[in-house]
Amino acid sequence: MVPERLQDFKLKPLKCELNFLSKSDGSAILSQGDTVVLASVNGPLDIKTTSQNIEKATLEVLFCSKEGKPSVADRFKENVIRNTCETAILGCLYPRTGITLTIQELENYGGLLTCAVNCACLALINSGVGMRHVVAAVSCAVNEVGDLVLEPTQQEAESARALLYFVFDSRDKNLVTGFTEGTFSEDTYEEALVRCRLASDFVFQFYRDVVKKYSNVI
Amino acid sequence: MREQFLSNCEKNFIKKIILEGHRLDGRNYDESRKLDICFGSEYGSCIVSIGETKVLAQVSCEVVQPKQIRPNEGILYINVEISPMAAPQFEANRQTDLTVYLNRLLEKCYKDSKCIDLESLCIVVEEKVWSLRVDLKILNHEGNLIECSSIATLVSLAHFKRPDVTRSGESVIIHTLAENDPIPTVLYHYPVCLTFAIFQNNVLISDPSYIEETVCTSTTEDGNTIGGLLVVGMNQYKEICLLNHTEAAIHNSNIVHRAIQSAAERSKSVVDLIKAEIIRDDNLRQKRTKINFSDIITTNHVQSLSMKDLKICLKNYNINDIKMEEDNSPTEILDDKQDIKPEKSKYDVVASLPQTAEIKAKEGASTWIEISSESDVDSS
Amino acid sequence: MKVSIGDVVLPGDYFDEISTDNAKSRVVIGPGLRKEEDHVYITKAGVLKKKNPHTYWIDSYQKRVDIGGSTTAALSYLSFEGATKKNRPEVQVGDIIYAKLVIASKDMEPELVCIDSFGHKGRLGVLTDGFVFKCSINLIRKILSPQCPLLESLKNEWPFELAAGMNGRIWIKANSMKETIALGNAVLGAEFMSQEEIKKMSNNISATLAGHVY
Repeated sequence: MVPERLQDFKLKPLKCELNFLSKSDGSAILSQGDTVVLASVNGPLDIKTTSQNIEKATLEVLFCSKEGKPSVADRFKENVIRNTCETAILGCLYPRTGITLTIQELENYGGLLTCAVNCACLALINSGVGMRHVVAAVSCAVNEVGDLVLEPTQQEAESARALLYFVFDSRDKNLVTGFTEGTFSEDTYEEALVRCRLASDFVFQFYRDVVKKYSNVI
Repeated sequence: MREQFLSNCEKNFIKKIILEGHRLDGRNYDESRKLDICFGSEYGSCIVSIGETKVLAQVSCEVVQPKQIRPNEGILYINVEISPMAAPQFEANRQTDLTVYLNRLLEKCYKDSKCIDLESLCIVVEEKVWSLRVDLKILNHEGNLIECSSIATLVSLAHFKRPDVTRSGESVIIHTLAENDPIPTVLYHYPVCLTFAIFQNNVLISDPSYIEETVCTSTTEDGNTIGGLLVVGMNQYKEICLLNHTEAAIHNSNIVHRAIQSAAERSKSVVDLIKAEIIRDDNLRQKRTKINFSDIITTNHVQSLSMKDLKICLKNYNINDIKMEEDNSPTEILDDKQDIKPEKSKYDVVASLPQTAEIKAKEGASTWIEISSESDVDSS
Repeated sequence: MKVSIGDVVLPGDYFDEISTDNAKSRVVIGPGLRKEEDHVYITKAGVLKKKNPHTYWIDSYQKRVDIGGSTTAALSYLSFEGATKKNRPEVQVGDIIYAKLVIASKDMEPELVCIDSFGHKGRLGVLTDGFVFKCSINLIRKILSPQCPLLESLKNEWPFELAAGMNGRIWIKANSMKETIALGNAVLGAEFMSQEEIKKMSNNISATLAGHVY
């Protein structure tokens, strides 16, 4: 199947503010549609000897949901985000130190995980930690009819047959993280991958715009 | 990470300027930072900020079995969490003394003052009651967490609406928000905790910033603390709901009276603001305006810190005086560089200063500049 | 993505101009750049800058330094002017020190000294009184850059001392408390201002300080 041109894709409106928190080394608040996430980065810092790694920096990720006790789902998100960000950070530049990444959910209207990954990446950019590349997360749903919906809304996500999340790096648009829910055919997966990869360009362009905005004054 | 160490010169400086009648950020003794309330899309969710201190609050509810000693009362539960987001010295998932202290204070202020009509939360006596849970997340710790989180608790409780419930015989039906209008929580009165820093038993400072709080509770050479923190919980009727004091003992009852008087004024204005904000938000919701936390993201300035309060500020300094000129000046930054000629200084002491700056820029500080000068030589 | 000088860059972008340069001359790649195999990759978001002939770096926003910022640093008693094993300098816990780094490696504990290579102390040493505050590394670079009008215009208004460290800390001291606050205000306020605005602001602040606000 031939993927459409880039213009045919529509992502949810992105809105971002860097340096939202004064106490953190880097922070970002990002809204993708109605979903809003706040992320803060502290580091490289001195950490306990037991968790130090002599080869590279230790990345700690904490995901806080808005209400209720911490759940298994939060731990799962932490894992996904940690694995994704570890590939992006040049940890070998900061041996025996720790980098803490804290993510706070503010509003959840679908696509929380993608928003969290993108927000974490912006916070890392803001903190000035050395990075191998930036990452962009794009999600995609297979609806009841079997069509692909890019960046599904909450209703679309709830009624979808399958949900696919992809994270790409900025160097060669390689897949960094892939994560799926539900059932779908191999072809659907391939097509979703191609579409999301194209759509990730929007996210990278957005990062560039954000950086451009403040690089005028520094 | 360890707690950030406060240097002697910071301590002494703060102590001195406060005793001289100044504050680091240019406020008066009884002046508070700007209070800002912003609501999320759900009922009972808000972000409250006092200056740069930010707290997120969210109320959630569930139906539980009541406690045996109070079979006809609902349950209120307050939970404070401080993650590394607030400041780097906090560790994830770990209770600190500060968390416990905050939790205790808020429970005293909101549970023990009986400001919430817990009986109205009862559905079936001895069987089903509503349990309200307030989750507070500290987002940024720039001092006066107590006041900020207490206002956040109050705002979220006052803003919260629980689903309507009807009983038909034995069964209880919980209606969704779309079916039946949700019911607001009944608050008898609105208590807020206000913090005062007391320096050397005679200077009273409202809304202390992080550095003022730290200096106030730090120990001096003789082992005593410089001052103490006094928390006054007061409602809009000027009734005291809570008094809490930490660190150095007060041996002057006058100062407590002054604090209470000042708290009476501030609590009134804070509660008025809270009520006004909630009414405004309610009106917007009735007009079906979308309210979302994404509204707090501002794009009109490049980085949030540039327009907000500076940590160090003169009393009469106003950033807008300078920013007004912005339209015509920043376009031609490069051209400006030629205009600057080193001017003769009036003072001898200062003349040496730019030299220091230059030396510093070349030495150790940024090694890559140093190397670059070498490479100049190499290639020439 | 391939980028060139002056572009807004993101980590993961690469830069080819360096490898095509004359192989004989020495090329210096500064903060935010990293060589991997045949490309030079960018590791920080900001603007790519070049200084002739072959120095490249990224101007980025940062609050914390790469080295020494994360661990404790060693300061030897012997690293002061005229210090011997018997004659020890007076340094107490909690003092602010103006020092240089002699060892700065990611794998080793940083070490500080308060003397230059000739054994003189110059301006280095313990700083007494005054006030210290933290700011972003960019602000330090900005006020130290020879083009910045801030210190030039402020020094005509009132006398003060200032030491800016590349670890994001500035120490200031003036004759009175109010002047010190005014100085801190001016320095912090300058962070996102253009040169013209800075000049105007320093005039404003000195007017405020003198007591007549216009």
